[in-house]
Amino acid sequence: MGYSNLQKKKLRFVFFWISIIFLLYLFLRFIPIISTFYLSFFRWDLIRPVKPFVGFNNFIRLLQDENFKIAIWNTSLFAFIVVTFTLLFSLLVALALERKIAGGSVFEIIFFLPIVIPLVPISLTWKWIYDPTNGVLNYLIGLVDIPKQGWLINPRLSLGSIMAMTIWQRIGYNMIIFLVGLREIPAQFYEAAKVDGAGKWQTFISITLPLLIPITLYLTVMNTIEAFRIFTPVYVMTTGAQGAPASAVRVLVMDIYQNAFRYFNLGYASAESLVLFLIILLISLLQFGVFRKRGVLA
Amino acid sequence: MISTSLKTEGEVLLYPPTFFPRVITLTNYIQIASEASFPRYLLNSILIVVASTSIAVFTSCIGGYIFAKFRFPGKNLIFILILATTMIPFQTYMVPFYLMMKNLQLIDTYLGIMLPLFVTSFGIFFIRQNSISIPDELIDAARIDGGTEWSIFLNLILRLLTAPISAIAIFTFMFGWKFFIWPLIMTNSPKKFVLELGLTTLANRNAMDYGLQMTGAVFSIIPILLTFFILRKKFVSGITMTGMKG
Repeated sequence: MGYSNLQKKKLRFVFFWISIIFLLYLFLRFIPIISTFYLSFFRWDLIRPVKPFVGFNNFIRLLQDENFKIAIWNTSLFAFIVVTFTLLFSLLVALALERKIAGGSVFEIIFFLPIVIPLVPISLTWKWIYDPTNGVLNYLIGLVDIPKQGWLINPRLSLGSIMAMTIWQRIGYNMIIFLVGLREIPAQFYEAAKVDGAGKWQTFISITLPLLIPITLYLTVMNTIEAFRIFTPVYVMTTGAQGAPASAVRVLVMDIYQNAFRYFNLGYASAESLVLFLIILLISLLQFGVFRKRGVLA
Repeated sequence: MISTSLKTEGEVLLYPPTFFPRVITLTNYIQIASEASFPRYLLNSILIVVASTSIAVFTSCIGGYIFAKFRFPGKNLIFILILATTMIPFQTYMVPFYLMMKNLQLIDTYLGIMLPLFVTSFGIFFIRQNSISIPDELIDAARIDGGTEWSIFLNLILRLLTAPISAIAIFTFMFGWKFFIWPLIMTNSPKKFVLELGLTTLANRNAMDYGLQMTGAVFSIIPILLTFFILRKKFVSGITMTGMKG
């Protein structure tokens, strides 16, 4: 008797809260995600009352859309370069810091601040650093007699300038994760290598690097997905005077934003969102594939 | 950045730039503070982030705890569905979500800005992982003592989960504070602007006045920096613990 009563009470508690959570998910995640698929087959113009079904028309239009092609190219290039250099630099910094400082608070603050500070103030500060007439960067390169550059205004430099800022901003986080990985490598491995007479470089190549592969893979995927979602720095740096030309730094989310909320083509923007979704899905699946393969081999 | 915010408008435009201000001036700060709107943005940000963080922490705890310690039909399916959404970034479904908000007339409301932050799959997952190790005997003992499920959750479980809860709180707080694209889409009236949004507007209106812009930037990061310095140890362990997305 008492047992079933308890069971009933348990069930009521579970049912009540799980329903709430499920409804929240339904409303905040599942329905919007499914609607992206649905909307992408319509010509859904915010201003027009008629929203006809157009089949794959939006996707066909995307393939012919110069802006979309530029956005895909820019975003991929951005992701490739930012991820490569972020990982490279943060690994180097992590290696340099590993021996000397065991988490000194000054370093903690230096590397955590770019993670903590939101991207809008960061981007604004960099916009000022990049300013063609008064910027700090032009002043610094002026010291070694390099002529002033329009870091953001010059279409050939603007994407690179935003990449540099993003790399700077992301090193802290990646470095910390690398440090965690480095500290988890057992000291015996290094001692054994020493006994065997391995040099520093040899130890690094045959012990440190292989043991860091799982973490590097994880960071590669995380950073790539993050890079494909880039929006805020591009938005901040292209708006207003002294900004970068929109076409030179057009990235995928920026293009989605403009199609949806400047031109009000919600159906078209949904089709574009679906492409972004597929790209990110592909990257995630790649991660799973690689991890599973490694699991089998190990 | 802080240095520039303290410069006079004339000195900001000096070339070569000075590293430290020659004359320290608070004009920019007075202008920001008196522009009435900036304190308002700050208030909006705090309101939105604190409210949504509290709700997200709550949904993570109750969801995580139930997924860890109860058995019910459909549990695995629901859990997998919830986890699957972590792989789908907000940007991919913000367009239909905006339409939903429009139909519900939630555009330009605090509730509409906060809504996407109410649940976090990572939070549910993280609390679940941390709840599994709570001994069943402990919960059963509390049941025998006559505690209701609700009171057990409030008085026992939440107390045992303090460390992961603060990690999740920091995670969602920072995420909410940085959330930019959604408030940008959702807000029309400056009265509802969050700090980040107010800052971009300020920057666009005074594109050449870097002193004022930097002041706005400094002003906008003071709250998060204060929180960071006060809770530094927790932030550091929270970020490494959750392997957070920056």
